[in-house]
Amino acid sequence: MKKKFLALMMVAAMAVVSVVGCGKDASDNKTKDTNKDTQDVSVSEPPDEENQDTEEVRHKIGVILYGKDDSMGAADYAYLNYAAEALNVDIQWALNDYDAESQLASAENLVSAGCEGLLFLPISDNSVSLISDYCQQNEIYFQMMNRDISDENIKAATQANPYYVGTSFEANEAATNQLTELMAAEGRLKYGVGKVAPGSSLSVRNTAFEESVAQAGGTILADYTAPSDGSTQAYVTYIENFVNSYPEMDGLLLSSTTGGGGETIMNTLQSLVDPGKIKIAAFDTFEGMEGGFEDGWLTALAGGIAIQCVPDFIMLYNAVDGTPLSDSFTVLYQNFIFITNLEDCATFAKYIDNPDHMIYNADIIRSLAKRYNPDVTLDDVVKLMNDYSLAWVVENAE
Amino acid sequence: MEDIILKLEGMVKSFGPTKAVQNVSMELHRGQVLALIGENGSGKSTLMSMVTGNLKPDGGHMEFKGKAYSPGSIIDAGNQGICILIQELGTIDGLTVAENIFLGKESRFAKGISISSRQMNQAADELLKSVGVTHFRAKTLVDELSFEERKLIEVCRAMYNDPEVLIVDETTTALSHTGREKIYGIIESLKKQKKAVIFISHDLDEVQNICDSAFVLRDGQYIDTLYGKDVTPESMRQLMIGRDLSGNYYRTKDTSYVKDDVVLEVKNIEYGILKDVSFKLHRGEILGLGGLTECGMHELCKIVFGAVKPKKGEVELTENHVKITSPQTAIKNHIAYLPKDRDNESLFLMTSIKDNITVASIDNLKTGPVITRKSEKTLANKAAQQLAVKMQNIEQLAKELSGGNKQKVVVAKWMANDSNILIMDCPTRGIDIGVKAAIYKLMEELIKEGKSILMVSEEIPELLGMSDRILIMKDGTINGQFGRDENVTEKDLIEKVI
Amino acid sequence: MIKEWVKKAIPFLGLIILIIVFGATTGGRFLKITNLKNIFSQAAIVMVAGTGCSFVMAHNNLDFSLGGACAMSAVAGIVLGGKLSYALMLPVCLIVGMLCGLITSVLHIKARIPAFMAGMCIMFAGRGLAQGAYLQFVMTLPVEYKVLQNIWFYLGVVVLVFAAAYILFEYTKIGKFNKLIGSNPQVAHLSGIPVDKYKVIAFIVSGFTVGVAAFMSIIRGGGVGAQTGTNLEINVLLALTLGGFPLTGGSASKMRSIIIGSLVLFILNNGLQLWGVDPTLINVIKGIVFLAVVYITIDRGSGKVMI
Repeated sequence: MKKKFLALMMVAAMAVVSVVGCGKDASDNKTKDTNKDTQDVSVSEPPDEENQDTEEVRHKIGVILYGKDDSMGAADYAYLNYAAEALNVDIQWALNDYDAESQLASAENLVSAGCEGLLFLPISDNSVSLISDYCQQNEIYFQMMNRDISDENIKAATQANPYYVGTSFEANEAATNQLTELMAAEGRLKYGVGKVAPGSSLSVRNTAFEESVAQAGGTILADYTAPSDGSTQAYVTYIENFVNSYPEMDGLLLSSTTGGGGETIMNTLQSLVDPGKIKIAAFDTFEGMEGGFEDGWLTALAGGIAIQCVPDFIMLYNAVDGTPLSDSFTVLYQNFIFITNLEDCATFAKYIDNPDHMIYNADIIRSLAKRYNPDVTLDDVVKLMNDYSLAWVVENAE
Repeated sequence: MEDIILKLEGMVKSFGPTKAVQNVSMELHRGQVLALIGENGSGKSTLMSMVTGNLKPDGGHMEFKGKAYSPGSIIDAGNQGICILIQELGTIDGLTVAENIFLGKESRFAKGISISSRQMNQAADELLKSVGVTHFRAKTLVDELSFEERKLIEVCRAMYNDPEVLIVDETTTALSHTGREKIYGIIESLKKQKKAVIFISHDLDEVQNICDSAFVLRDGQYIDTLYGKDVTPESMRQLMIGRDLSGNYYRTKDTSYVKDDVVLEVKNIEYGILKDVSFKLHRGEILGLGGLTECGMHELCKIVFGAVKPKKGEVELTENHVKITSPQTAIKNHIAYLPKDRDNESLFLMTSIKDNITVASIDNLKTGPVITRKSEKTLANKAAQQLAVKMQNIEQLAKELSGGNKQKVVVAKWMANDSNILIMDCPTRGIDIGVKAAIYKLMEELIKEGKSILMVSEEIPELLGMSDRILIMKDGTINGQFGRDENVTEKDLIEKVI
Repeated sequence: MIKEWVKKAIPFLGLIILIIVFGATTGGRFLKITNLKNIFSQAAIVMVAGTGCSFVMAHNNLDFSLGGACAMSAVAGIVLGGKLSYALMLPVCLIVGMLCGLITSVLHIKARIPAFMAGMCIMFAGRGLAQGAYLQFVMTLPVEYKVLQNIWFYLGVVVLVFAAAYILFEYTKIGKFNKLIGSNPQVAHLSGIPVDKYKVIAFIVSGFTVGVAAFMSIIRGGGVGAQTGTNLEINVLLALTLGGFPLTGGSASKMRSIIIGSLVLFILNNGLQLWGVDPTLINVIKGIVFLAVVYITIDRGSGKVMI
């Protein structure tokens, strides 16, 4: 009897040990991974004295992200691990939380694990409110990425929180202007507009298109709203209706082309009209865009904004390190990359749509941290985000 | 010794404390038709289960055709050449006749990874023809077939294996005259082919006609073997019953506690096979209900208890004119039901003895909506002691008890509810003699107290020994009624049964 | 005999081992009061939903409606609360929760649909409703309810719900009969237990606690989102199993399983995060632990296999 019991205890103990082992393995793997990253940039290793300087303070920052399996998540995951290494920061991830409660639980667990700052992509306004409250109680700095707060009360409360470092958005208005201008420059002024659902976080693009079209002196002949169930079949009908009802239409301005929407719309156009009769200017990049530019279906595409997590991370790092770049919260805008021809597509694929390529190298990242560059100001970060363009990326890739 | 086909040596099998088979040896010769006889619970089925690989022996040695033999399963035994026609149903609903016949042997009709059902059906039809079945086909679903027709499918299944030894386990009791003839024919032809048959039956006249020898078991032990002319019903019965058990085992003949007033009336029940069944149960009476398993008497018990709704007819308590329409009304009116299938119908095996006893009386234990542990324990202990249940304590799980003690727990459950009318379906099935006697004694005490018992039994001696009145059912109707009378014999009853 | 005893003790031993291991290897972080409070707050909703679900599990059914029912109750509670009065939030949650239980059980019993499938209907309906409502309504917790966002509220609710459920489970017909139905429905029927009625009651009790869980989820989540209640049924099932609740229900069912199991589940989650284990690996480890527990504790003897 006793033997059986002892055996069971042994099994339990072994299970625990193996779990501990797993844990160690995991962190080993991670350091290995990041070592590999540092090898890639070993040319720009910081001088030894700086290393000694930072050895005593090694901050820990937690990141809450929806996942790392799609292209944006994978890019964020790679960029941030690299940035953390460059800044000599421990990074701890919490992935796969899809509701406010889980995000809060992850925030709690990350803080318990010793994180001094939290960077997160909020799933909803409620999530912002919860994590903001939690961080205030526990005196933890937090930075959001890629999201605005739509609820005015929550927005006011969050902005009043001294531990709120800030947030960043895509520069949507600037990008819609640019897309419309590129279209108008080709002499195309009669548009069909593709909108996103009104409640969506991207709905600002809908109104921005209306304004930019008015500014360019064009007219919107018709519009559609993207189906909420993500089916692409609906796009075929939309485009057929456009072409049949408005023979004079010569341009499409699209707020979103993710999930196969871009390919479907372009293919439908190809089957209905002669090449170049109607061209597309749109947000997001998609499969087959090379052919689209080659055959004259596309005017311009705007994308490449996953990089904004890096400036967010730098803002948070400075705050955690005791040297915030601003006295109050900050709102930053991330420029889009514009692709206007076949060559751009190749460049984009090589440098931007490629998590292995670090757009901001370790030197640039460190130059924005007060610890490594006492002269840095908020304006430097703003400038970096404004300067972001295909040309800039290529220039700084060497 | 060439012609010994199957040899058993020192076979032993126990179920917990019950020694089902103790040190039994047997030799079966080619061309022999051996009857295996004994009372219920004497170990016949257990012994054959070991031969067919259904049970693993605790001890002993088997030789088949001169080689050591230890089958892993019924299918394994079948493939080696020992097949069995079993007592209970052995067909699977939802499959066709052909699929049932070739169960486990589908690979013989395999074409690559698929099974050719056309070939399988052809083969099945041929087999059906060979045993003389013409009125249903290989593609028929077994669900549509009667009990007897399903038995014939099992015969086909056994014959397909071309068995060297065929075991017929109480199959014929369930069959009509024509069905029996088919099986006798098969036995005859096997005998001619110098193969062997083990024939298990309670019908001693049948045994006399069919078998050339009889192997007698009693309480799991080998008693004797009779050959040739000695295989007579009288000598077999003597060996089977052995000691003068019949004496104080059952009730003494001259006692009667039957009162004139009727407590329960069953009126014109129709359900499934049951046709227009009516009877009355008196106070202080044991009403015996006998017949073949399929005659409808077990279903009738469930209907009387309200657990099954009859298509027509009703069950009424005479005293207050309450109609029994659900087990809840039955229990509220102190009616108890002890099902035949103890492990599946009357006991929660993985539950404590305490909960098993209190389940039917919970409403009496409540203080407000709450049931206290103490009241449960008091009731359970009292009832268990009354029945002298052999157990560690009332928290012990029911599955750990022996068959007899399980039945005592079931009785205790209904005693706890002060039951006045008890429906007992085969109350001593699979129970050792000691507990059997205790239950008979308890039944007598109950009627002495003015309670009434409806006892269903498949054992004729039990019916004769215990009942004040016996109703015999056949094919869903009451086929005969007997009073408590010295002159009524087993033969009289059997005539009405079949 | 001893094996049964060990089987019963495994969940509790596991909990203790986890606490000791994490206590010793996280530099005191794990045992900090704030961290322990966090763990309890995280586990509270699963505990509450699981106490009710125990009744359904006890009679050998799986309730897959929990997440969807929680979403529906929460949406109804906060939307109606916002329109009329926030005082109605809790009652509305409870009523909708119980209705969900009733619907699941009626579909199961009257329409003879397996309970887990009926539950899935509720699950999908609830998901859809929450997503639709998220675009339609503002579903944010009013400021005056934020005082409830603390450990004492969660602790209080858990204690109250658990105590009530424990009494129902151990000392009334509701619990006793459901356990017996799980042991063997046929015997239960023949022992005079109205099987269908008590199954329905079990689902309604489960619905009630889901309503409470929905209310807690509104408090804890600061409102209702498109994903409120996601995975609740999975977490409850995991917790019950980790706590040693028999997969086929029956008399061995114990109410304490949900408390122990929820703690094991969330301590494991928390401890692994404190270790800094890669988040994708955490789910794998949880899966392995779950499998190990089921392997050790499952009763193969009874021959009953779930689904």
